[in-house]
Amino acid sequence: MRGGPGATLLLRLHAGLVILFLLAPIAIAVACAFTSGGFLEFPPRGVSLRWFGEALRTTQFIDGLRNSVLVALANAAIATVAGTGAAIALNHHRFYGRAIVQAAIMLPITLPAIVLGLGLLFTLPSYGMRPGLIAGTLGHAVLSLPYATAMVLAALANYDRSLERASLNLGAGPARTFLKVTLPLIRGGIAAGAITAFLVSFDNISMSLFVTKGDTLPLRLLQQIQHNADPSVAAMSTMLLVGSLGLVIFLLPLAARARDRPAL
Amino acid sequence: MAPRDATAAALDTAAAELELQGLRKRFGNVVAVEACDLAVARGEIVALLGPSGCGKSTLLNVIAGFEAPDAGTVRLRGKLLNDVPPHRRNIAMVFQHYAMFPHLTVAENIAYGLRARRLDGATIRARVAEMVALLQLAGLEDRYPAQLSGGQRQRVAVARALAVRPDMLLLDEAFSALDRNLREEMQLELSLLLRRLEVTTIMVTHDQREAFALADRIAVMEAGRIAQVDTPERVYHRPSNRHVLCFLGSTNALPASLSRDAGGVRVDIGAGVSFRPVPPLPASTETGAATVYLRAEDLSLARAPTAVHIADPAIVTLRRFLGAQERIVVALGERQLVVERAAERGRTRLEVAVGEAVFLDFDPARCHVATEPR
Amino acid sequence: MRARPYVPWLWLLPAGALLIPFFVLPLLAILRNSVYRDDPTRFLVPDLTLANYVKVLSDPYYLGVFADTIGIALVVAAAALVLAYPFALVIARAAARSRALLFWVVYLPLYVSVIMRVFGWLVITADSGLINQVLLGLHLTSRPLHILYEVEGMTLGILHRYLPFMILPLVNTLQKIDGAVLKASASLGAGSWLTWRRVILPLSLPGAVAGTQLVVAGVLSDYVLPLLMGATSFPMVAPTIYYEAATNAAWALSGAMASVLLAIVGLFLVGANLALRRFAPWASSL
Repeated sequence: MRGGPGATLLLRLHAGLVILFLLAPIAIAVACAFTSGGFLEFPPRGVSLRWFGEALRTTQFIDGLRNSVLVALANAAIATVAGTGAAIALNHHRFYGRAIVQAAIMLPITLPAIVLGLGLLFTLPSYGMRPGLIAGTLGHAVLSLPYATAMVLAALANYDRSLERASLNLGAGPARTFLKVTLPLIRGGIAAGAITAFLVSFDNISMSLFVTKGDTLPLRLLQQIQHNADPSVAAMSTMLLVGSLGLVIFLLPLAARARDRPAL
Repeated sequence: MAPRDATAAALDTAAAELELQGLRKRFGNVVAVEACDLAVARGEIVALLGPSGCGKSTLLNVIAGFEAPDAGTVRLRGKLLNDVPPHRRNIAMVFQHYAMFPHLTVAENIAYGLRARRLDGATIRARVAEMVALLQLAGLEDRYPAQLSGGQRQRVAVARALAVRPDMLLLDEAFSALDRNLREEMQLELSLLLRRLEVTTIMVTHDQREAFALADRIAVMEAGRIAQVDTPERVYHRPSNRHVLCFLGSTNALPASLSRDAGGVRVDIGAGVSFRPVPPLPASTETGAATVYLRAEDLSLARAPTAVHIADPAIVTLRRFLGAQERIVVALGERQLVVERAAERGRTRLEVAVGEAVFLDFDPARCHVATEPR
Repeated sequence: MRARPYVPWLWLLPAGALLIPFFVLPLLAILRNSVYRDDPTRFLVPDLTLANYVKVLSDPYYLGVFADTIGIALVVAAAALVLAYPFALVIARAAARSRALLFWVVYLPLYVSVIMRVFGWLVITADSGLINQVLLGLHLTSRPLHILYEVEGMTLGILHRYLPFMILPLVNTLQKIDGAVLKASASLGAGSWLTWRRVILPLSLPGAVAGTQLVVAGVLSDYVLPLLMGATSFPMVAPTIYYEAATNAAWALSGAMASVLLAIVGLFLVGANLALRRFAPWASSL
């Protein structure tokens, strides 16, 4: 589609500004982490890694990190199992109430997380639970479930059901078919769902506010900013960014390749 | 009004509506179109026919202006089109999957080009009504494309293109998405309509039946070049090269050998089939390997040896009833030949069964002999 | 597969075991609590009353909170649409490799912790931050502009956070436009501008609606940005709910607020879908 050269130039300029808008705050935040001064400022005063060391020495951060990783892993496990089952039910079977079930599973994304957190706060006592890491895991799992389900559904959409029929036709039972045929072929989608669930939980604030005791990493960082905003928060966040990006860069293409591998 | 079977010679006298000269287009290392020349008369329907990858769609896109040629010119009524953008060429196109505007009703789709030309409301309404009547779309004006069948969408696509009264109509595999019966019905209807309106048309297709059904002349394309442009009959019966010959109709290609005897050059297919080519090959022809091309419908079967098949009968291996035709496959030595004939009932002709021995008969004048091996 | 009818429900068991106690029942609990009564001495009293809803919907303070939040949501959605649309056009038209790169740029903010993004905005919008440094340095103002901890700064941060949610659906919809349709438009005589106005723009409408839904739903429920970048004079819904629930222990009131928020988000989402179906009936077939 050719537009006049003037239009293309304007569009490119606009795109450049939008890119700047999207990336600038992140780049600046990362830059602040390397300051040798004592405050949050830009341009940073000198270059130093001292705040990284500072962040790694801060017990609240390290504890928070450990808690967040545990919660995120557990949540990913739960969300992946539940999401895979849900995706198979929705994809393979036509049943009465299917549309409602699908809507219900996807609902946690559209509803305000704060409302979900509030509701959990109200109901935890009746389960004999108190705000903490377990409650946090379950709350996060509710938020991650739609993502995990959507990823596995996408993998199922790309895959050929006649392979399952072939397996049954050749004499393999339903359980064996699921383990040997279905699961391997959709494992890319499952992996993508697990990774997304991990990231959703790791970064979550609104839900964690209500159902944990403030001991996940984002909440610890939040508290730090509110009380005493110093570059250690920037340093910690930068390390988190590198970690998440690493996760995404290395694992997602593997998941994608597995998902797109053509059926033999 | 140009004569319906205008030939290239006649075009020298009539002014060519569309002239392509020396067109070349490459994509990266692949040459899609090379040295293409074509002249189309006003009101003529020309088909670009060839297998996938032969460059026909690229050539059509160059004519429409969606691709710029690397070399060569496109002229419409003498005016150079090379630098004219597609929306100013007044050349309307019907696309393979119709490219309906999903957000516009049938009437709005048809009116689209007219609105782009800023015609006034009354003219637009009248023209739309005219097209609706012409393409039998009455009652569907307010429907959206998603609510139409494939055949209906095709009519809308044609109506939309014709509504702007284009200087030229381009059809890009416009029938391939329809199923067989509907396709033939639409081909008939469209060919009548286009002739009535005297619309100059270029159509692209890989389906020879479609080309034969609609076109006044066929340009057979192969590997980016136009191999031959002529009327359907001449292209079929007088192919200019081996590729055209093999692409059209059902052609048997048989390895043969040339030998010389007192009467001249003789072609020997082995297994007792040999003949003298008509017209005879020049005496200077080298003996040795050659290839013989025989169309399936030019072969017939006999119980006794024939003028061309004197010994070693062929064995019938397959016999299929195809409706109007019958297809018989015979094994001649190690080779298979396909024979097609009308599936008449009750008349005197040789009934054959699988396993029987038969002799082949054909007119040497209908044979094509290529003196290099295949 | 001649499946027995209970098989899908077996597959749904894990999801159900997660959602029913930890999603469905909590939502019901919110509704239930919203009709109880807050008592300063005895915590939540199970007397059925609509007083909380009355309070939320008539008290000028709470009304103001909702109205202000809705206002910000609409402003951000409009700004996001204006910023996102040309950008989405560029992405949709880009060659595959550039497009992949651009997607990275759009996705990156989503992978970055919201804390970090707020950080960056703090540094940019503070009185001694980047913007003011530039303005003062170029002598465009004589005193620093107060952006941070004001509505403007908060809105900027919110816009930054939700912009990708407008870009992605738009790109998705634009890419779905059949290239042949654009060619058809040209072959019928419409130049670039006309093709954009009469084909691309209407066909991109579903994407714009989807993006608006995502942005508005997100902004209405956002907690972190108003908390960290907002103005005390401009309270937003989510922090207010948290305040009432956690600090004031006003579970009934916060329940009512949450219910009202749910209703507003739900109405908006459904309403947008209905409007799309009414004005673009052809969109459902895409």
